[in-house]
Amino acid sequence: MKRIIKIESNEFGGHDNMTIYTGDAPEIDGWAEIPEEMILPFSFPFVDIEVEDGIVASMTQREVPPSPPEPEEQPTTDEILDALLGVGE
Amino acid sequence: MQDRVSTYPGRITLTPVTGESNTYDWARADDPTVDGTPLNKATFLPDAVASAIGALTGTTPSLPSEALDALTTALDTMGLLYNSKITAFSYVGTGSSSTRTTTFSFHPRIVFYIKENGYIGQNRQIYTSNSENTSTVPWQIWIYDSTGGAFCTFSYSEANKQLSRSFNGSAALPYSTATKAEALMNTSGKTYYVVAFGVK
Repeated sequence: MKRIIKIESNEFGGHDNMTIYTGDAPEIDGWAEIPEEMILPFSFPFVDIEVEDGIVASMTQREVPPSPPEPEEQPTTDEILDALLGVGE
Repeated sequence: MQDRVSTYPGRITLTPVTGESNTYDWARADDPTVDGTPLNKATFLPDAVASAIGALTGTTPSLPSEALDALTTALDTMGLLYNSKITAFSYVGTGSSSTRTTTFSFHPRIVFYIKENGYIGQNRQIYTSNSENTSTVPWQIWIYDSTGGAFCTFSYSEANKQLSRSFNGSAALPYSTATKAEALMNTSGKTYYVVAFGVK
């Protein structure tokens, strides 16, 4: 298993990440490898990291943005059809 | 196998058969220095070998030519498997609604996205390709919420072996960032599992 993380964070402070279980890990510019023994903070992927020679040297927890609510109700068939047809645009 | 090495190549002895005209028993008289490997079933296609090939290919050959044909077919199949690739990985969503890009180490042909403990959009946990319009949009994933229909559009770059997911929805509808992230399978804090099959 190999874990990699994008060095640059996004607008919410989160880092794109991959944990590869099977197959070759892709070589991606701007990404670093997370050492196997490194324990991920609870806030992952919202972390602050320091990278040395393509390897994450340290990873610390940071504030996690509030999670958005799950969608509560499904649209009706008419609403779906209107969206597809562009009605109301 | 060994060739027969004869002192007198081709020499035979003919012994008349008693009571039968013009009928002879023959025997080699070539005085070999090396007997050579006999040409028979045991040396060409022993039963054990035929059975083993049958177990491998599904057809038990009765002739050496059939055995070679079956093995050739099996090797072709193995070649296809050798050139096939598979990868399985996961990622934790960051909540970003901008185009998401996944880099592979091979050209993915079929990709499965599975959201842990939840549903992607319209109460579906697993999405695969949608060949509705393969000429311009290889495949899409649709989601809906109270805002309206929206979907994720995929595009692939062979040069970089990158599969990108972009949000696509009606310009008139006020989609939330969360909806866009959900459509892109990038809901903050959610784990997504990906299995991809492809070729080198």
